[in-house]
Amino acid sequence: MTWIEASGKTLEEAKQAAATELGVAVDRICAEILDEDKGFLGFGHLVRIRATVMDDEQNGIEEPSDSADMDEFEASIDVNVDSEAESVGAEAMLVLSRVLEAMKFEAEPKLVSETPEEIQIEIHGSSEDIGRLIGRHGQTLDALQYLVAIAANRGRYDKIRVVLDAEGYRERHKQIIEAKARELARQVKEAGQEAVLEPQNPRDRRIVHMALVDDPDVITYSEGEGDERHVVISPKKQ
Amino acid sequence: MKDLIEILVKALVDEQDQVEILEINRDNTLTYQVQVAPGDLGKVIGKDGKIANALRTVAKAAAMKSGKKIYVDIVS
Repeated sequence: MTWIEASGKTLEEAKQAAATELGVAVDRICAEILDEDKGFLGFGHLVRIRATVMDDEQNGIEEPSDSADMDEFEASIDVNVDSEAESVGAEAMLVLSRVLEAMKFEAEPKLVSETPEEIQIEIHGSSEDIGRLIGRHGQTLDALQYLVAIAANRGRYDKIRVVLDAEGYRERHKQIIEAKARELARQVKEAGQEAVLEPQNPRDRRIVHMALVDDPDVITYSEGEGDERHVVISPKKQ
Repeated sequence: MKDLIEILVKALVDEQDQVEILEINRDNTLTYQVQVAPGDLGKVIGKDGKIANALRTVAKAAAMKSGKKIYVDIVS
């Protein structure tokens, strides 16, 4: 596998440069950021990466993209894969219990459901370790979920989604986001002005869109790229 | 901590016997240098380093318990 170094003013530009040099389409580039020079007053910003060509299967599992915010989220359902769901579920449970043990966390995974579309695992344990496991804004739980999903689906063409939860965190988190979305929508109607939310991951943005989809007085949309992507709640023009 | 990195990395790659993890324990900092088969590099780094970053996030959560700093480097 050949690795090259490339640079550009943005990550996209650096990847494009790498793609040109390696003679492939940019979406086949696997890149790791080496360093990022923020420059001065916006000048001289430079991102340096090392890059290689990725096989299709090395793409891993993507978070649902934003175009999937509303509709494509429900993945296509394959029939006759119950036994496959079982084997992915068993593999996910095995990796997860070994990981939790190695982390020395007082926490036990429990398989909640396995369908051809989705494996759900709930983790129970001491409140201190569950707090560590969830992490800031759920980022540790998300990272673990991402890794377990890749590991459990390794070598498979049709990936099955794996969802990890810890002591009901995801439902509580969802309710908090929904309540905040509705409160902001109320303010938007009152003031007649747009509200711009903090950047969120695709799953959280989808919760906002869904919470307000039936509200006749506002519309929601996402803007910004990558880690900056966020929802805007806007008054609907009469 | 080394066993955690090893479990995670081996769960991601195809050539598990090619996984080598070097632990450097200096002061309050643990550094892990992870080496995998060349064909498996993309599987531990991921698009835009996403998999490598997820590994680091999980390792950090585990290290928090022992109060140590932790770094995970993928070497090629």
